[in-house]
Amino acid sequence: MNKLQTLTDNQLMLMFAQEDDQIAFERLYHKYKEALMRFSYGYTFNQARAEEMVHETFLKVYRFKKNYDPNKSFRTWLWTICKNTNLDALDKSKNYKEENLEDSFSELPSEEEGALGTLIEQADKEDLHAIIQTLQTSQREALLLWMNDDLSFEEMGAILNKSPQAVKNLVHRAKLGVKKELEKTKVTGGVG
Amino acid sequence: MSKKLKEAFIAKMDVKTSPDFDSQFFKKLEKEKARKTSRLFSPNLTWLISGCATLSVLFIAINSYEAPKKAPFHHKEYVEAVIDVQNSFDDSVTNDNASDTADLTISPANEI
Repeated sequence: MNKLQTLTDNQLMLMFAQEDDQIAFERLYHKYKEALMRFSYGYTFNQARAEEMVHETFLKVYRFKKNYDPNKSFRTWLWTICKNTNLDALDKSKNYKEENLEDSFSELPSEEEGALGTLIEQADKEDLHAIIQTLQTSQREALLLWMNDDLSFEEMGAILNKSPQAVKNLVHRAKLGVKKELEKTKVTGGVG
Repeated sequence: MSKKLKEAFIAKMDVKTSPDFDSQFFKKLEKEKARKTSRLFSPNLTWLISGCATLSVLFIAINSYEAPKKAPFHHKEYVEAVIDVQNSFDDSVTNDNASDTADLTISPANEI
């Protein structure tokens, strides 16, 4: 067990893929299950469905372990499987539109970030969930990835099949959208 | 600042898994393993055996096929058959003539 603790995710996955090391697989499972759960929950805010999606993600890792490319990041591979599993289960036609991502604005000024943080702390959980659900799927995915793990924008880009700059823009737009709706909620006293 | 904002989001997005989340997953994993090991042969081997069997059947069918040969011509039987037909025809003509002649004979009883 001590030996496993020093291994990277890629090494653990290789042990599992090549030697069928179940302990290595379980280690990866326990490491990522909660982050994947939060990410999957953000798609529909349905706990049972999110749990199913996380199970299915790890089952796919098990099924397709031979397809794992050791030259690529395990994290990117895992998150991509999770994202695709969630999208497959969703009705994609509803609001998955490709956005024009030519904006050069990709960062909220720090005061605005601070204001958004305060709004979020004061908001009801259900109100925030409802607002996130109104975001376009591409923005929501970017925001969920951004908040759920220490993924770089390059890694997020690989998962979402977009450039790092495009992902930054999506995150930026998502934050702006959430901020705008939370401000409205504060004025009107609830999500309309 | 970005980290604080992340933490604020995570706090509101936090969702706990149900108590049997792990046990449910490992049950599904066991089913997946059982599904994989229940096969007698690997898929490639199955295809190889099926392909060989199909080709063997086709090979045997092709080799067993005989094109229909031209039936031999039996002259003697042919001549006998012709004579039989001719005789039966002649007989029927003779009978017909007799009945026609009989019809032409006018009996005094039938005279008007």
